Amino acid sequence: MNVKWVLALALVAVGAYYGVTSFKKSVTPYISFAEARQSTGLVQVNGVLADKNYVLKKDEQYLEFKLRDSRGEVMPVAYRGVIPGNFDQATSIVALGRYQGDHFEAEQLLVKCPSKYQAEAQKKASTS
Amino acid sequence: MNLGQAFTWVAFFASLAAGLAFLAAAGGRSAAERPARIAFRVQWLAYVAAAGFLWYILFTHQFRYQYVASYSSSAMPHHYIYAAFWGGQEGTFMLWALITCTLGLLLMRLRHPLTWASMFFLNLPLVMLGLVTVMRGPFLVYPAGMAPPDGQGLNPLLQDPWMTIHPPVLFTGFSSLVVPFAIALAGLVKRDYDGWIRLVLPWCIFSTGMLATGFIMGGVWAYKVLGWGGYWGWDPVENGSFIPWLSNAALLHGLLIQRVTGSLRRTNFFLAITSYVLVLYASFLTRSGVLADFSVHSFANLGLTGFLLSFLFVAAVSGYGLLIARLKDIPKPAQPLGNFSRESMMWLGQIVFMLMCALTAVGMSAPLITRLFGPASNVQTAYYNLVNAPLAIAMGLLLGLAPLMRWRQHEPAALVRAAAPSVVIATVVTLGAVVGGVCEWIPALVVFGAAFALAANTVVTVRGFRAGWKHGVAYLGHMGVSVLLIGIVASSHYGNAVQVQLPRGQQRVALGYRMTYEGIRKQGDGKDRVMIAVDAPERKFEAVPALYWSAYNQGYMKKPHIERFLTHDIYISPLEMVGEDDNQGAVWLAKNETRQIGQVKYTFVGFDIQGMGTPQMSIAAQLRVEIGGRTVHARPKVEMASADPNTGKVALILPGTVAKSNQDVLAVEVSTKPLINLVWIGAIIMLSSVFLSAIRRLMDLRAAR
Repeated sequence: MNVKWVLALALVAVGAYYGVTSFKKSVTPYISFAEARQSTGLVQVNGVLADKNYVLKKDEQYLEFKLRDSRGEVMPVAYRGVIPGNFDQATSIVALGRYQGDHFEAEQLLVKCPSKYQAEAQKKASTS
Repeated sequence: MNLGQAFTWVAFFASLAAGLAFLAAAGGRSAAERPARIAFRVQWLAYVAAAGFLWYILFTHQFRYQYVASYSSSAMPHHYIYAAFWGGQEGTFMLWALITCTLGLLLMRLRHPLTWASMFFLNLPLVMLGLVTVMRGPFLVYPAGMAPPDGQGLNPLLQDPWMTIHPPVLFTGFSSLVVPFAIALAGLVKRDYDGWIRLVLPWCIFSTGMLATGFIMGGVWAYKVLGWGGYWGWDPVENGSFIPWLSNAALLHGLLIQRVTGSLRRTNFFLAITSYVLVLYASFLTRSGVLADFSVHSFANLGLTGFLLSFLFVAAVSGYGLLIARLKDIPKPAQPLGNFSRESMMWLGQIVFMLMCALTAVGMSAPLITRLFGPASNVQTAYYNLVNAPLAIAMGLLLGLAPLMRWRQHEPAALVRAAAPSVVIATVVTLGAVVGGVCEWIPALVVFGAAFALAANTVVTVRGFRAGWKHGVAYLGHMGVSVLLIGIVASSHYGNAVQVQLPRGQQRVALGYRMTYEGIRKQGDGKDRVMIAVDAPERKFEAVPALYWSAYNQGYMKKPHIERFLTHDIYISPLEMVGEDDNQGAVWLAKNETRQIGQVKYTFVGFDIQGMGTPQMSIAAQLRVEIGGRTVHARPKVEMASADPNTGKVALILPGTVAKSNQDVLAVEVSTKPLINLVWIGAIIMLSSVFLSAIRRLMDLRAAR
């Protein structure tokens, strides 16, 4: 066995090790609310704003709202950080975080708003 | 059929004719060469005409064309109308075809035994692209009477000078990988396992350079316009052009090894095919809509999934199939790859490139991979940094070792002597970095590797340039890469960032900068600026980041202010105007719910909606107000946001409940970007080296004729 192959195998082994461990660490599955309540790690849930009775404290950058998923289940979500603009008009909200006690503690919010990019064009093109 | 569609049909039929003629010419029938040339030129002219026609309808605002209405508007400035060409999916497919065809025109001019066979394989993707342009071109027209009076315009984020040039440059690099693919297949078919190298080398370098230019332009745009503070976001679209670039960079180094030592024949064919397969795979991922939930700028689904998959399938099967068929026929090298030598270090470098490529590809395919085992999920962008950082250490070390070693065989003792000064310099630089705050293992090791590579390559570059510029350019590029690596580590990992709220007229301190928000400056183009006086230890300046409402995006658009210094940038990104929530302090009332405030009772009776479904629709709330035994009816108009259609509730600000308004507080994020200039300097050095190398190899190709 010569130096070249030893180094090559070492590289591939280290690369594969980092690849597998990092992948497991950073993959965040979209899961249902029921599963989110059971999970301990970082997960992603998505849904829509259940109602307009949300608590928004802009000075403290704190947001509390209820998320409703496609099955109609509702889960309270708390979020601290930069509040996404026009959050209450979102057509879909993705929350990344973990379930704690009685609510979902979001670390990151992704908000999809209507009429962006090609969505409009899509609608128009399909009418013709 | 309109003129644009007619041109795309001409191009499609010309591609079929050219394909047949190239096949005959490649088979040795010289009579077919002339028709092949003509057919291919007709195809090119048809695409040029189609492109000209698209620009014509864009500039003359013919909104009966769906594409024109979707991506431009009559109010748009001219240089953005020009960029609306590639504003949408359909236009970029035509641009892809036009660029591929133009590169084919250049390839056809080169006289080489493989030219005709290469042209046949280059023409194959053109047939596919021709088909999609015919089926899904940018020339669809609205049915009579359905055309809108004005277009929707282009996303204001894309209305930036960099965005008029970045997409075509990146796209040229992306498309140009077809040439190494085509030449490799021609070499395999013609059993020319060594001769293709000289022909492919300048193209390979050209692709490396064009893609890198595209990345850098995109990085500058992200940094200057998007305002999240970075220049590379590991978005699927970015990754999609990065993975073929890595594979192509591995090919470039493999070609150099094969040229000197005669080894790695099969590897190089594999890499040339893989680069283009990755181009098609990335197109499939980002354009078919499979990632639509995971990326902000993937295109929406145009129903092209099947087409893109078959495109990928055709290229992969013909490429890898041909390689497997010839595997036994490709002769083994006379001498095996040296054990401890320059080429073995370069070979290890190729492995590093391919590992980066594979791990990045795995990350961007995460939604597809995880779907096999459960719910589709994505990886966080931290994944890419985690996997690529250790590989960057290996890359830096190899980048420094390889040029210090001789081809074929090298004495370890001689290497130690040659590398010692660079190791000393790298150690000093790393210690300096540690003192400067780099106190984690991996970033410190990346800095060590990059500093070692920089020192070693500086020595060989100087030596090379003394012997003539041709001998130094490659090492110059490696110097650029090392500088770039150091800049990336410093600017992305060691800046400070803090969010701060600035009440108008009051000074606040963030990161040691005294900042006062002074107000809003209206701009003619509607992109209003906020004015912040900053008193920094370095100097006093006025920061004017943009913060404005965009009707197109239905959201606030932001553009950061960047104050540049030699050693760092101060990056001020506006977040939002605090206290603009219209419903703050409002009371939500359900139907027939009564709320008493003081002596007054308010009852919400119901909504009164006028002009339902029209743009002039207005909503009013019917209220019954009881004051001291008297009943009054009120009908205040309410905003859409104040009415909740799901629950039937309305938000009202009633006298006595109004919360104190805290309007006019600006929230900003202030951050520092240490050594960001090294990123730009490294990038410029690297690019100049790449383009000088391309010229050098082209000169070699001409001299050999």
